[in-house]
Amino acid sequence: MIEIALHLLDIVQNSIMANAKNIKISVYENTSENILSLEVEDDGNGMDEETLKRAKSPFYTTNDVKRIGLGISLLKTACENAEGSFYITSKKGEGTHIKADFKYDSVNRQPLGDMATTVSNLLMCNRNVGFIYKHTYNGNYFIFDSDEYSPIATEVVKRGENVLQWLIDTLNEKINTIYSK
Amino acid sequence: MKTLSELNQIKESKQAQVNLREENFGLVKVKVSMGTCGIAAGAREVVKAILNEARKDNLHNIQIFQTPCMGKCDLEPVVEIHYPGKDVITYVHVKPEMSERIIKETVLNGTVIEEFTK
Repeated sequence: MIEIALHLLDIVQNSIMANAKNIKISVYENTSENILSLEVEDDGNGMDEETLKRAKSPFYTTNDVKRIGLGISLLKTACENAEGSFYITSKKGEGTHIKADFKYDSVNRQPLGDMATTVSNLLMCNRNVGFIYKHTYNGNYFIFDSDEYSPIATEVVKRGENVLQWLIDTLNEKINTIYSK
Repeated sequence: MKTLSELNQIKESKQAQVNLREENFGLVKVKVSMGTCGIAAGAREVVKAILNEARKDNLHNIQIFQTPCMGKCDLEPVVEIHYPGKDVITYVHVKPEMSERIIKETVLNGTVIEEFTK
């Protein structure tokens, strides 16, 4: 993918298909530690040990119309190409945890990309799922909890404004704040 | 003071109106393919454009879903419109700028835009 944010969008689809009710997204950037870490944690169906082993393969999928499932393996390849590491743990009945670490200054690392649009898309298309998005840049961070923002979003709708644009603008403002401190 | 039967008649006619509204708008489902192939081909921007277009036309009851890959990876981004009472309409190679016509013609009127299906 041309942006790390698009890998995130891909991985979160897995969480949604696994019936997750709560999804935690964390982006951790630290230039002095030379790391960009993307983490997704869900409370979906989870996988047993056997399935977890197969999940890393590009030929494993739960989709019945095809025989490839590239989401996890592409992200694993992307972070390993950027001299990083990939971790995935899962417990059947509890959920799945994925962490993809990229070396920040690696020439093979894609840009993080448009997180605001990515997270906003997820929120707008999955109203029944709770999202917590935490973004840290060199020690400065914000936490966006979709449950907290729900009542504010309702007010935005009542005012006749564009909720999607409001969400994107709100998230971009938070992101710009931590980048500029 | 209205009789019970008069009140029931009012209730029934209002209910019919609500059903008609819901039938026209509440049940139009727009499904955007969000598998790895779709995302790589630009589905995120297509979803954003469709959400914005729906909002412009005040379609608060449009239901937009992100679905897994539908198996037509070389045709991505793919958008399916499920209009009540009609066969599923599938648009391929969808670009964000196509969303205006998709909402105005297909979602609002159920019209198929032939050139979008190829």
